[in-house]
Amino acid sequence: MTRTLRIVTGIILFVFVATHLLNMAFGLISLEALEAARFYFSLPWTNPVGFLLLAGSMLIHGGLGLVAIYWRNTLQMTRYDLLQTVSALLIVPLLASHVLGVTLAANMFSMVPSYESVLTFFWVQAPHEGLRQALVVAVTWIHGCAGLFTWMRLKPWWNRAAVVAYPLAVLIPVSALLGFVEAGNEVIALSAASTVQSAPPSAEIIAKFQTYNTILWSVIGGYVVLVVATLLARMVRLSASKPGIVTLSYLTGDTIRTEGGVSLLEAAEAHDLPHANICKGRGRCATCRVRIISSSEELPPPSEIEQKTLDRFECPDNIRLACQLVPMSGTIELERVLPPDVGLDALRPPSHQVKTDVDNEPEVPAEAAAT
Amino acid sequence: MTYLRSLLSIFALVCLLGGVLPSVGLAQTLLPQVSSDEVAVADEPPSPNDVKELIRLLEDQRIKNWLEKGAEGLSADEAPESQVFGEGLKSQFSATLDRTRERARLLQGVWRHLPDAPALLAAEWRESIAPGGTVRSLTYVLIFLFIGGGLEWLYRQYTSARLLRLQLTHPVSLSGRVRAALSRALLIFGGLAVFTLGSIGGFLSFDWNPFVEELVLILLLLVLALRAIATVSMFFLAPRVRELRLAPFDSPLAKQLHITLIIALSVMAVALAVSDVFSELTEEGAGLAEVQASAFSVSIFAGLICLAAALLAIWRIAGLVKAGSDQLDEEVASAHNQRVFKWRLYLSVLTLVTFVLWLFAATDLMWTVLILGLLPAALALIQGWVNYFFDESENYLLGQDQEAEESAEGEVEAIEGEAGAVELVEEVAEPSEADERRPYDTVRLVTIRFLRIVLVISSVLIVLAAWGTDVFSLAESPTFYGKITSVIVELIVAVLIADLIWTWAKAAIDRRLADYKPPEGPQAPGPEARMATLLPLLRVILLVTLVVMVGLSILSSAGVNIAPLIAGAGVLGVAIGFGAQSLVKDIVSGIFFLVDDAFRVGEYIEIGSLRGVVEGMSIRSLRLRHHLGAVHTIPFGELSSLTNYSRDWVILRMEFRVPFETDIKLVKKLIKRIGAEMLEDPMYKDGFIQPLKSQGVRRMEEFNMVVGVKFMAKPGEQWIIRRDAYQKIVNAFEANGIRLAERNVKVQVVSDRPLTDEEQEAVVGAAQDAVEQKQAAGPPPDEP
Repeated sequence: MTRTLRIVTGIILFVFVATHLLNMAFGLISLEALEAARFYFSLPWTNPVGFLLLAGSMLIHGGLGLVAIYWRNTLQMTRYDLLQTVSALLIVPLLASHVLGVTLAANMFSMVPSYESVLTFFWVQAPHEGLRQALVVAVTWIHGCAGLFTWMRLKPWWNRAAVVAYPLAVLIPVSALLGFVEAGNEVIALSAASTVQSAPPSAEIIAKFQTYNTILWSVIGGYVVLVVATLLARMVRLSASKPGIVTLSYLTGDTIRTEGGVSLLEAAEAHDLPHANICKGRGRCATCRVRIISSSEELPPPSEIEQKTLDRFECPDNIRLACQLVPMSGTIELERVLPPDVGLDALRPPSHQVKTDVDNEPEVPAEAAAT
Repeated sequence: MTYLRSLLSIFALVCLLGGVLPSVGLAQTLLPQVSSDEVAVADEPPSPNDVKELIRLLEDQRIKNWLEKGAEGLSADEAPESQVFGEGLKSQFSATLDRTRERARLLQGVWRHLPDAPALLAAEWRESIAPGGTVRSLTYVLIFLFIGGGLEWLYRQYTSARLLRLQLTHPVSLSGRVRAALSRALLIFGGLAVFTLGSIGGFLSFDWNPFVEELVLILLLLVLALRAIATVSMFFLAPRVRELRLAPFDSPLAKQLHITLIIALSVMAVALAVSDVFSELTEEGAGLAEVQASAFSVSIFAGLICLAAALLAIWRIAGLVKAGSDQLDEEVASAHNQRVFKWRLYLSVLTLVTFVLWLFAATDLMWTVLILGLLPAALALIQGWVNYFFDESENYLLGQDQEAEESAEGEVEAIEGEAGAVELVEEVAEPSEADERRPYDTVRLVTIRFLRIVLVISSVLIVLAAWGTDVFSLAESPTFYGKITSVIVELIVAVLIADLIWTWAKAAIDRRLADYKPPEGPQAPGPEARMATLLPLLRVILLVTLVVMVGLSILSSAGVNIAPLIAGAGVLGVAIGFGAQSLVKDIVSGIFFLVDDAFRVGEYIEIGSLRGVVEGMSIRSLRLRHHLGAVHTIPFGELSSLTNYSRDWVILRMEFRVPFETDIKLVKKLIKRIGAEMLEDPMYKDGFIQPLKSQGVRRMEEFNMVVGVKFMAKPGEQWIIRRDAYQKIVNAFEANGIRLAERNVKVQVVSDRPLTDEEQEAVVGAAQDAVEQKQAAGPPPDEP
């Protein structure tokens, strides 16, 4: 349920960002084209239903992220998780001024935001806001793509979609940023050409501006407080349990010593031991499964997600998912079932695979797998 | 293993060089910025007003006169320069001295200008960039970095599977390792290239205000340089995957080295970039002297930071590598530490000297010192690197042998128990000890030589480029310098290439010769004997050819006309050829006999009426030793047909004359038994190809029958076998009551009374005739 919700809201947000960026790409043609395209691209989002959907997705997706942070046992994570967490945490502070500026400012300063005025603001009046925009595009797009691609890779239609998806993932933000630069150059030229000095702002405007700033900073501050509170709550939750030392000894001869509370996958990655994980530790793909040969302590039983995936692949009891198994202490002897460079074929359960019963094969040495 | 360890120190240098070279590259990419910018400005079309002004000026008579005078002065200046060589050198020297003095004066001002520098530079900055321009430049940097990064990400999506596979497969053969390293380099650096194309290419496809363009470009180049440093270091040190590492370090050491290098070089790159930005700034502005001096102060500071970073990195790396030697035994460790200490000192001094030279603006000299100073380090490094690379492959191969031995040991143990196992292991271990030779020796030598050539030549070219001379045009110019340069360059190239070929050929030939073991005793020589004859000859010919060619090419590059030499040699060659026709015939036919493999040293051959063992061959003739001691010398040209008795096998036939009443079946049985006995006997069993066997009655003679016996043996073994076979057979016949037929002459006397003495004599006299008739047969054939 949580996973479905996260993906659905994520896709909604991603589509919004994509349409917004595509609109921005029209800046490569001209400011007029940019403005003209705005109507069509913002159509789905300006109507009440679209707006509600968008705002709701934003809240749910963000909330789920905080919940996920709360449930983390350790902050030592895989590179993918680190990327997703950090980029997600950055989005709100970076984006707040733009969102509030376009929505609130329109009401407060009674001006209709157009691309020309906003771009002038970004490039001429407050260039640091422009910098922030470029940054937020990068961060948001990376976060969105990472999540979306990880989800799509598990789908049966991925092989066909990949042909288009990879180039598009680069093409959209690149053309948007280039459009941003080109349109920016245009507004810079325009503002340099206009000799009209704007009148000094009246006291009323200054007061309103201060109010706006207060709102902006209280939003950002509130967000920071929320994140800190989540982290604190997590600390409280964890303060009861004391993780021991886990020793993982692989049949290949590698031995890892790590603190408890880290999943096997995270431990392996932290120690540069390559491990197949197509779904990036979400417990869906089962490519990270390991065969437990012996364990000094009793291992925690599989969670619901893990059990479902294991059942789908018809795995015996001693097979576990490295991304889901979180031992707290003890010594575990294990081996990887699949080689680290396993292809997408491994995603299909054994009953659908041409090669039957991968699970019972011994760990394939890398040389053999390469041939 | 100690060999590997001893390379550690050298490998510290690998990293250092890996560090220094990119930074040099960065400096090179950053330093010429000024000139490229000038070109950019010059490329802009002049305004119509400027053109009109220029035309007006050119039409002015005074200007014309002045230009003409200047042109005369120029040609007048130039003429003595080439004629009076010493004069030019002197003026050059004094100019350098002046420049140094000026630089020293500027250096004194550095401290004075330092306090005002930030304020002055900030003011200049505000002047040359529009408000908000600084932040906008950062935005541009971010955007174009994102574009480059995005394209690289796309590239990686298509290549990451291959890269992962490379990381997981660990090829062991040399070619496999080279291929893996090359494809890994290709994939990694391909990503870097895509990134460059996306970021810098994307940026340059827009029009920008010159200073913003310069600023953003410098920042983009900075990021690129940092990435290049990280990529190169990653490629060599592979801190995460031990099997990919091209240097003999364990993972923690490699990680630390990687980090140290990246930090040091990043600091240097950032310092250089900052210094460059400010010098760019003052280039742009009309430039108050004070502002320029401030920029100069900044650049001096950047230089100091670079110096400090380089020194710290050298010391840190030396410390790391030294610490890595702790596990060694004492003697090796101390030798290793001494080497590390020596290199550390050398590189520190080199860095300091370079810095001082830079401080005094002696750029040409600085580059020369730096590059020539780094050359030994680079050579040592390349050697260490190649050696490590080869050692890894060889160790694997040897390790495999060892494993085979161990498994053999295991099997034997299972079968025969411990005592047998020990014996067998000793036996197996022996050949591998004898085969101490490494499998890649020749390739290794040649690779090192080749890389050395490439390094030396490229560093010479870089030094010449640093002196601002185009080596190719210089070599064609008729001046004294040009001549010297071209001669030196050609000499170096010719000698290095000849050296490369000679090393390779000598290594290959020596290896083949070392493989050859002359046959012991009567054993027939193997096919390698032929090579043992030919190869030394080939080696001498090759050496002479190489020396002559190098000498000629040097002479020709020095301006000596070698055409007469070659023509003279040709005429002489023809004359000698006619005069020494038979000699040439001997030599050529000798080579062809050797190629045909007609005979080898140690074989027993027959040529016409001469027979003997081939004792030796010279370039012209063949020496045969007759088995009775006589030595025949036969020129190859005289050989028309030749019989070789030492090839593959010989059949020897023996005959026994037995009386008609002999039991042939018994004879056959006896001979069969003797054949079996001799086959068992360790003395002969290696000599036999087919055992002794009876051929039955070969023919009938007047008074007896002839029983044939034959055997097939290896050449040279047959005589001993025959000797003993005769003896054994005769003994066996005697023991079994088989008499050998004796010659007897029956004289039939038709009379029944006893013969008188006279009559008996007459009978003997009559028989004498028959006996003497038979004995007329010639002497037995000649055999050793």
